[in-house]
Amino acid sequence: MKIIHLEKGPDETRVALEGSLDAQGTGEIETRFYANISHGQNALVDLSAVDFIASLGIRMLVTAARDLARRGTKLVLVRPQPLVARTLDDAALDQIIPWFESEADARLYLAGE
Amino acid sequence: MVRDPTSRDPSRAQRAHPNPTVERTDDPRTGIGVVDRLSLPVLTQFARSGASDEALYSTRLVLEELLMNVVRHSGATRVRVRAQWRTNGGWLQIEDDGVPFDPTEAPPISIEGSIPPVGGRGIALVRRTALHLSYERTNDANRVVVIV
Repeated sequence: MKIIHLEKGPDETRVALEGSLDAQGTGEIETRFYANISHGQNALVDLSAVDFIASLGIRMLVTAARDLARRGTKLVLVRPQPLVARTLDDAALDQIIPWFESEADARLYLAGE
Repeated sequence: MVRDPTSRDPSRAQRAHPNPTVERTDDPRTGIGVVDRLSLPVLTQFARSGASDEALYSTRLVLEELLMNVVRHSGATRVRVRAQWRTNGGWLQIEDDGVPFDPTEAPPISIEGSIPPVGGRGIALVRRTALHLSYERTNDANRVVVIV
């Protein structure tokens, strides 16, 4: 599991993940993931190269989203693969973290439009 | 002329030439490597047997969550997975000698309150993913059967 792209822009931090968010993969990136998105900015997490997610990966995303919410910022997910999106739906994650089919839509949401 | 007795009846063909059963046993005290060691042979066999990408994903998810639960919470010294791709889907049987745990009694997914504990959201995902889920406690062992 890798963080393949990290970009801190003026309005948000964009993080792209690659691999499997299973127990092992989540353990490999969890600490770095939290460290990189906790900067008082909104976070946009690109899941398009993530081929699998299980409960520990979901817990990582929820923990990060709640941490950002406490600071008055938001976390959004972008372009999950269809089977990953099914798991997010099954976990009722969309009630905690919104996800979008495009970065443009995600940025509109983060901008409050 | 020799007539193939299974040629007109797929169910007879399935009985005559069933897909192989995968069986692996491991020690969950060795940590999360158990998940891959027990899951990968099952996924490989299911793929050879014609399982769809969706079924393979579901199989991986169910095994990941149930085996992680055994590794982290059961205190078991032994876990065994048996699996076979059948006409109605993937059949999985997970047995461990840990403390009694019935995944069919796990609460449904809830987003209220604090973040659910490990094993809470995971088992709820198993219940959402499985076509069938049953549990029995026999001979001081947990036996979970799942169809995906």
